[in-house]
Amino acid sequence: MQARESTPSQTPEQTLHELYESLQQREEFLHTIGNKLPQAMFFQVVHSHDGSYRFTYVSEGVEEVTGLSAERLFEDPDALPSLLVEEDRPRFWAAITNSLKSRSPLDEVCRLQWADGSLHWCHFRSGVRPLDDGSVACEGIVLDITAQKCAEDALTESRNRNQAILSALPDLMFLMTTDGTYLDVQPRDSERLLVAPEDFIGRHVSEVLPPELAHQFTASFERVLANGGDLLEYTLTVGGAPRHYEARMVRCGTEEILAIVRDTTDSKLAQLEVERSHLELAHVSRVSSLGEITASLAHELNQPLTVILSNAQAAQRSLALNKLHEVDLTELLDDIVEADKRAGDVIRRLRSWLERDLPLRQPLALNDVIRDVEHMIRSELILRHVRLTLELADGLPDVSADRVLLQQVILNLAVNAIEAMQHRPIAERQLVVRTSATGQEVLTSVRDCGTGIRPEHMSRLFDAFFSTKPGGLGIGLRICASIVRGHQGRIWAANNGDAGATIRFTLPVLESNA
Amino acid sequence: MSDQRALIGVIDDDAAVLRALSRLLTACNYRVRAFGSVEAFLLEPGWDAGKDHHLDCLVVDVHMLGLSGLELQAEPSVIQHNVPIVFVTGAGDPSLRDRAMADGAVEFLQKPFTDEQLIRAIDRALDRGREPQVKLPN
Repeated sequence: MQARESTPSQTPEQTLHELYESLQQREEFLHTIGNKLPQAMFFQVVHSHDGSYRFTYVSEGVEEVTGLSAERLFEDPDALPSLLVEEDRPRFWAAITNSLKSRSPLDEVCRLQWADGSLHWCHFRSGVRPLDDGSVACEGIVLDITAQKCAEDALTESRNRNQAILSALPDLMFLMTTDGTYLDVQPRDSERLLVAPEDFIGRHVSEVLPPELAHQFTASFERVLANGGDLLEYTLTVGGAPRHYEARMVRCGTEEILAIVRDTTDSKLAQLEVERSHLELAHVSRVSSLGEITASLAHELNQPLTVILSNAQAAQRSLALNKLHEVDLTELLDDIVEADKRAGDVIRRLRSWLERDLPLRQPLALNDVIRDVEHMIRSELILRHVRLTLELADGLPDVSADRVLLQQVILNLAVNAIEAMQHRPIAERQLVVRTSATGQEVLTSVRDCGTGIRPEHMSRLFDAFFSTKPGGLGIGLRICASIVRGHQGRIWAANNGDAGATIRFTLPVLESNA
Repeated sequence: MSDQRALIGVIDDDAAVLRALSRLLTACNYRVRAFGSVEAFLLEPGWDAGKDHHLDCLVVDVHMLGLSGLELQAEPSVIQHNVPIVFVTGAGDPSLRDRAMADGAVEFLQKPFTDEQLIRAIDRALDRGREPQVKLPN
């Protein structure tokens, strides 16, 4: 708004009047701005040579910004600076002094503490204008920026917190473009990085990582873009030793992917250690279960040995008596060969049973494994007078399992079942092993008609060192459970309606025939 | 004229063992009757009838599917005819041995046994068969 130029045709009164009106309009305009602007106060302070100062104007915002009334400030100009927080005061006065001396604008942020104790961040901005009488006018604005300051502080705090979290995490952080170019690396321990942190920046994963791994990452990025996130587990040889990593990747904005990478080598090794000790225990249990079936084992070997020895001596005697022609030698020799094979099979099974190999997961027909066990317990069944009935489903899909470990599960369950039936009359000792396919799982059940499981034992049945058998180690069922679970299966027990108990376990169907 | 050689009954549920023992006993100049189970033996008509059918000795496996050797020993008809029994077993169980011997078995042989062990046991059984059937008080 400009003051209008006076024109020669006007009288001085008219000019004066117009000038006055124009001034009035301008004041109204300034008044509007000064009074309607929220959380702001306009002011004019006049500083005299003697160092004193006084407010000559404050806008209506004064109360909102300082908590003081205009009258109070006019009366006592020190009322405002006395609100300044102690530690801000020297800085404030130094800035004022400097502004007055150098005639430069004031631009300072200070805190005011109101009478009610509340803290307000104020931004003081003013210009300096010398007056004719030698005094200086400072005119400007005080803005209450508390809200903005709080927001800024909150932002800074949250940024600091995020930074603290990131630096506290035992993880590496990579920021990448969605097509896999490194933007930022937050290393944890740069010795364990493939290249120096700064050498990642600007390079594509395929330039840094081995080709196979880069390919895995690229595939993972696609899943991130499709699903918002992905988990990638990988192994990388850093500093000569293979290490295991787990990368959690999330989409970060539209252009970036954030990968938090954790070195899982130690937990992986610990897990392997646990698996190894499970295998160790399984082996110990196999050895000890042989102790339980020594009589059976002796029986298994003594039968074919008898066949061999008796046939051989029959032949020797016939030979000595010159009666060999009376003997069907072909049949006799066939029997010897057959018996030898039979004994050999027993030894072979025994050897694989006692070997401590690493488990070998292979496609297995569960029914075959059950028939293996049938051979192994054949003598046990005879000695203990138990009838075994196999109800094996036709066309059962294969499972992926270690043969010996699975034999161990079934043998343990069968031997337990046989044991549980010893108090029953011989004619009633019936063991039933059944298989069936249920969707994605193969179910095996081992059913006896023994004493059943006492309800108070049910929940501890698969615990280590829990045994109801006198002299029992209490590791048999525990090992069954750990083997089944190690094969991603489930195992549980239930008492039968009539007599005895049934233990069931499932194994997932091998994926290729699912 | 009837064969004067002793008639031995062999009972074993393991067919290969049964054939081997039959061959061995035949080669040792015994007459042999082979049975695959205790039940088959008990069902054999007239095993306990006439002189020609009379078994001089039984060689019996202890552990068999179905009735066991020890149950055969407890069969009334077997007790009545006092047929001497030689037990053979693939699984050595001392308590079973003691029981069988206490119940009058001639021998309890652990498989595998030699021809001589078997012949000695059968000879003792045949000797016992020739002893008076009723024991006289001392």
